[in-house]
Amino acid sequence: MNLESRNNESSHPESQELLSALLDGQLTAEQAIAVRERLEREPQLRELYAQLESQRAQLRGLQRVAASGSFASRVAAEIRERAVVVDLPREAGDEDGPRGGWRSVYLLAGSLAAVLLLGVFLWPRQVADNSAQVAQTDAQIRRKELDARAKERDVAMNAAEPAPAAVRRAPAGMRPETRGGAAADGGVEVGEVAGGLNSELTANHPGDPRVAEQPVLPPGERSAIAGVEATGQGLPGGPGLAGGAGVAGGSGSVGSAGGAFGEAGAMPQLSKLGAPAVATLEEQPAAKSANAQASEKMLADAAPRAEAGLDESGIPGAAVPNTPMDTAMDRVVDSLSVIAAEQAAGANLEVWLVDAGDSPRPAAGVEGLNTGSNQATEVYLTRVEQTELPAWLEELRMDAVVTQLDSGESAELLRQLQTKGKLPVGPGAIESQEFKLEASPSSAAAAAESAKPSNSAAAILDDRPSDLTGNKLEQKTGDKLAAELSIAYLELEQPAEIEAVINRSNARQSGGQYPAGGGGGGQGAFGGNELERNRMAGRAQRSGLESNLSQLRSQAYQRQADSRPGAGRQALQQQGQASDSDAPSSDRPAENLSRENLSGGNRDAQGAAAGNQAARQIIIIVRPQ
Amino acid sequence: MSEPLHDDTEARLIRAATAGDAESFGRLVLLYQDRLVNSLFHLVGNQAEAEDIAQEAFVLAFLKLASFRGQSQFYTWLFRIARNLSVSRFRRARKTASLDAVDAGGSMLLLSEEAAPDQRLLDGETVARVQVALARLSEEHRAILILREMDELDYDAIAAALELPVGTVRSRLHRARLQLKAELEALETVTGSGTKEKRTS
Repeated sequence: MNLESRNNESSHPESQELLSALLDGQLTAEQAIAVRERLEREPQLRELYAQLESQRAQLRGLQRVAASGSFASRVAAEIRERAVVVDLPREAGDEDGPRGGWRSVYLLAGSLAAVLLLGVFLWPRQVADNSAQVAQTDAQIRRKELDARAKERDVAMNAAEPAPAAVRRAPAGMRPETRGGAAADGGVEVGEVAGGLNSELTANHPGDPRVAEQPVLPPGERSAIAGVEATGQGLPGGPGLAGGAGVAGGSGSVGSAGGAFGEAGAMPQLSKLGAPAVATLEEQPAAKSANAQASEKMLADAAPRAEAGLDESGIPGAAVPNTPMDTAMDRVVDSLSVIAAEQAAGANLEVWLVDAGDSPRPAAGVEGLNTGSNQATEVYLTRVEQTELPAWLEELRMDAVVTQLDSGESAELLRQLQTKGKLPVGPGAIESQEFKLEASPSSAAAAAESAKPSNSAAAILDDRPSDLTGNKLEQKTGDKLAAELSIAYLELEQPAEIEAVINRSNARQSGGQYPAGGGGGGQGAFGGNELERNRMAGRAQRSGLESNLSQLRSQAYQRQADSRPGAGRQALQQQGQASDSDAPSSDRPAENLSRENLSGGNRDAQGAAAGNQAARQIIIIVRPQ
Repeated sequence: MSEPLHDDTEARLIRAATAGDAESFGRLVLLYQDRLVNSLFHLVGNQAEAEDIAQEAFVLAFLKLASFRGQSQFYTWLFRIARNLSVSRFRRARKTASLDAVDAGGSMLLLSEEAAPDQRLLDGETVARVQVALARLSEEHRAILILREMDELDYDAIAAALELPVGTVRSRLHRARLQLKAELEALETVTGSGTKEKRTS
């Protein structure tokens, strides 16, 4: 900027900004000289600069707050609580790839958290000598890397000896998830980590009272890690563990996760692929449980009914065709209600609501969602300017996208997501008018498509990215979860579809995740009480869902009766999300989407079980009208 | 506050943590916990709340570590998660928050559970006055000032943490400073009159 071109412009915002930049040392030498010359000439500017300097000193003089002494252990405990408990009941027979991956990761996370909890007592509370610590850390990491390399060499020399998961390299071209069958390696590794740490505790700190005072492994952690360790002793892993007890289910999970965590180089790929760490269906045909097949059948059955405009009970009129009433916000509300229903079913969904509005708005408009942060379900409203992709969004991977941006913007935004590999479903499909507008035909077709017992999980992995250019989201993804949610999003007014989704969740809750011979499988190392609690929670959820479903039905009927445009928007306004005031008033019962109505009285049960499900991420991109 | 690790070491810790080394993640927690809690304290104005958010941020960071691609510093990534959590909490809280707790700019005052602003001002503590002024800023201005003045991040890192272009960082930072200056001046007036009244009485 040519400072000399402005005379007596000390009040000019850009000139003033240069003061801040000077203060922060963010100017080039030339610019800094020019600004300083102006400071000498202009007292007003000089005074402002002095004030800013003083202000900075005051800010930097503010009291610094440190984390409380128990902070790190609370972090570890929280990770353990969310992770170890998560999802054990949903192991065998659940072939949903992405969830399997998360489940595995969470299980391992839990084990690691237990280790972390122990480690906390050993770490220095404050880093007194940072440079020493850096050196120490470097040395430790290098030592581990060297150890890992040594182990790799050993493996190369003796192929019969399995390598620890941490150093295993997948054969070129092999997807990480195909290693699920390799099973127990991760278990070995976690066991080694736990055992190694325990040994270190004893060996390195023989007289340390902190070691003596703290139980090396609290009973719960001990059992969890014992289960993991057991996998290292040769128990079979991987999906298809029908008949297996908790240990077996756990071993498969940890085995997969061990692969996921074990290879740093694989992580970007995992992220790109939505991290499915279970074997694909085509590789593990036996993994498809009877319950999973039943769920698919339910979905397949629902499709023709939906196409015909009938709900499961054959009530005509439940399927309301798209009308002007179907405003953007209506659809968003509908989507949220579907997700809420899934949540009520115990699914642990992460919902990120991306608001293209001018400023962040209250999340009140998504009352139907369980937003408890302690259940890995968060609703974020943030700002998307045009097609700018927020950096935080890039950090996520997501399982489904529901968008209400204009077609072009939506396409651009989603293309970016696609390019960055953040979207395991075909974002190109969003461009399709068919997806956006022609709900019934495409959705019905998609329902049928997604219900096919095909190698769907493999399809999405194998076909990407070539398949992403397709224009039918549901038909291209093969990701049944994404497809179902997308369908439900489009067809909330067809309760059959919703019911299919919920039924599927019910089926999952009622036994799909329990190995046939493992009805008491929870009696394994992971503890039977946990499973029993989950079952009870599942039963409570189902009863709550029945009432939720009836509300959804009545809502659909109301929709048919009320075709005034903007009704859904009004609902949002009433919930505090919409900011404009141009929507017509309506008494349409979209308010039924309140949390109380959707989650019913089963919130406690929901909360109990939500942590037991692997989180899936669904991005909802909203543009206010 | 812990000094930021050398980039290479941080990367090593993250790589190790991602590969399953719990101790490495634990080190990351220990290294950044004070810094994050401090920043959040000044952002939300309450230590318990700050620790809750920081805890949640670390947990999420752990669970999503695989998605961290190392294109930004770990701390800026962590701060971004924490800030999103903070904003989310604030919105939820705002539904039930008293209007008295929200100033005209929409930011929640920091001091409700600690001490009344007036009380602090009457104590004549400059530090308290700065805290009150900071609390009166909009959240986005508060966040950028904290990142710059307390975390001492450069513009690039701030841009990464707040997901803003660098040019916007510069202009927003300056506006934040001006807003803080105005708040401080306003508080000074209040303090001056308060002190005067006290003397008179």
